[in-house]
Amino acid sequence: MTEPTTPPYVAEGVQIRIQQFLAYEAELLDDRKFREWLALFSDDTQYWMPIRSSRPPRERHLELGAPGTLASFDETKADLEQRIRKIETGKAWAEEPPSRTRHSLSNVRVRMQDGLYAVRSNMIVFQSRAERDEHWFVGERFDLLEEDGGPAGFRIKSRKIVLDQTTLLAPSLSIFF
Amino acid sequence: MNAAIDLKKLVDTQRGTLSPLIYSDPTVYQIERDRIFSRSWLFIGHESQIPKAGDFFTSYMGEDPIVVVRQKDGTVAAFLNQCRHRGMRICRSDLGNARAFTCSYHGWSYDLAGGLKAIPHEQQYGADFDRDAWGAKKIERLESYKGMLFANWDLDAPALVEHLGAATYYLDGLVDRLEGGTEVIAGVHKWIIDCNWKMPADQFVSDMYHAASSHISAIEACRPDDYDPAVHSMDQRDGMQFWTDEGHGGGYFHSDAPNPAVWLDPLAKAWLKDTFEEARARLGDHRAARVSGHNTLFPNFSWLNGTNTIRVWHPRGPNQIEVWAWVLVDSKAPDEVKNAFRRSAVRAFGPSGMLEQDDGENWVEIQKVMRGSMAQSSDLCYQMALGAPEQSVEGVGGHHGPLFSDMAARNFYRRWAELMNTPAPARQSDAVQGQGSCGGKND
Repeated sequence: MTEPTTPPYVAEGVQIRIQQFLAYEAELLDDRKFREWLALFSDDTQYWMPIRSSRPPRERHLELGAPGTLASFDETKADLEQRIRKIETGKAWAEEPPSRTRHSLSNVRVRMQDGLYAVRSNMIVFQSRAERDEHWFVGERFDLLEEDGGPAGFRIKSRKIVLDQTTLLAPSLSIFF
Repeated sequence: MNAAIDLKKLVDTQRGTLSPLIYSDPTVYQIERDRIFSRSWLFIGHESQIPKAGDFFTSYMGEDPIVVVRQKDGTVAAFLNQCRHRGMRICRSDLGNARAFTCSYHGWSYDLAGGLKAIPHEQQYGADFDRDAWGAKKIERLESYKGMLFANWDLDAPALVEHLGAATYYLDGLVDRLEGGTEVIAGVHKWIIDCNWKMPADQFVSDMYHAASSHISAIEACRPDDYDPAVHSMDQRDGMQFWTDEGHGGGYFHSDAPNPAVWLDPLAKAWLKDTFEEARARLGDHRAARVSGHNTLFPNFSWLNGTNTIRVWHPRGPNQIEVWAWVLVDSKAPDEVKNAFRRSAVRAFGPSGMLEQDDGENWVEIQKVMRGSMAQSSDLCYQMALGAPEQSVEGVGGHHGPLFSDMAARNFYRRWAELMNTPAPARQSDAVQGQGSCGGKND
């Protein structure tokens, strides 16, 4: 991973604003306000969930799939919008009836990186489907945020989502992270 | 366990009915392990995953874990991923490069072909101990078809090309479309779906019918600006189904020109069109225009042309599968084209795939319903195009019929029932040891 590893100490005000932003974003997802959620991303955003695999000790640095290899998500903003359009048809059967989700973010660590905020957070997403299906998605998010002066305060320049599973124990990834 | 189960009554291809017990019954599943998965050619991975000596990946044949390794002489060998001492899994990495494999339990050490190389305190086993007899169980039948690796536990099984039969014609339309052949993008999608392995295998063998309903949301979301039902629709175009005596099959729309699926990236679509003339010269008109379509090789390997997803439906008991999916690309395509196919496949198929999501939803719900007594005893309808005449395609073997039909599915279950009703031969003795290997790269 190329992310900075210096201690994640920024001014308290910045820390709180970013935590509030992440909570607001999670609220939009759990309220299924997908268009408003998408508006938080920059037009050139990258939304990426690489695949993870178990490797021998001296290859441990290759545990996470590199850019350009197979991924679980590899999206532009237009791609994400297309996924929202699919849900909005009311005939996206993996989301109709809709999933009930709960996005919880914690351990928010903020570092400055080239004028942007590099934000790592731990993620627990609960998904309840239909009568009694439920799935847990536990992992970490790596976001690059920029100040944008808008009502939400920030825009997401890129998001990398790393799940703590190799074989995914769910039938599909029909929700957003 | 349902001791009274009568295998002969589960599948009636004349009447076009199936008993739901084939999907839900634990006894049927136990028999499948011995009579289907222990003697069928099973896809285990692609040669391009292990280019260098010592490169390996772990895979599965049914529920049996295996290790597949590139040897120093360029061949590929594979063995059961189980230490012969106490049964521990020898290799617990998904992929990597190794000089040897050492069991973590007592330190028994195996070479790249699974031969037992060294064991701690070997003198304690006495002078008569035959170390060579305790190597990992070799997979002696291992063959590559244009880079695609298939393995079979059955020493008496026909050669791989014989098993592929008339399906090689259509398989070549995927793996040998252009000079230089194909390779896989690094990385394997692995995920579980709580359904029986035959549901996806059956859908990919014979079911274009579901697409217009199951995938309507994805098709609407991907609908191009110049949408034309005669070109883009999933239910208003006509086409053909094919099937072979070995149980393979597939379906595709009629087309005189390459007509890629609407969900492909523009660069991927352009590649299929730009290379059409070369493909036509290699494959002829009939196959070259077939740039989309669904297929299954019996029992559990499927692919989609154009989208270029290839996958195995590994059984995990009667009620669950583990899907392993790769993306196949033309080796000579430029990197940006390979990337376009990769992104298209990720966005349409795979765990987050806008089309794939809908399939899993169907299969999971079917499997849940089949817990019920009434549901288990109510036959399923496989009567579409029952009695329809076969069609012929000049110069192409196998059988052909209308696209919207259950003909290839009935044939798939005919083959399944045939194997299920034929007891497996007694297991080969452990004393039978040999080198599981196949030719070098691109052999």
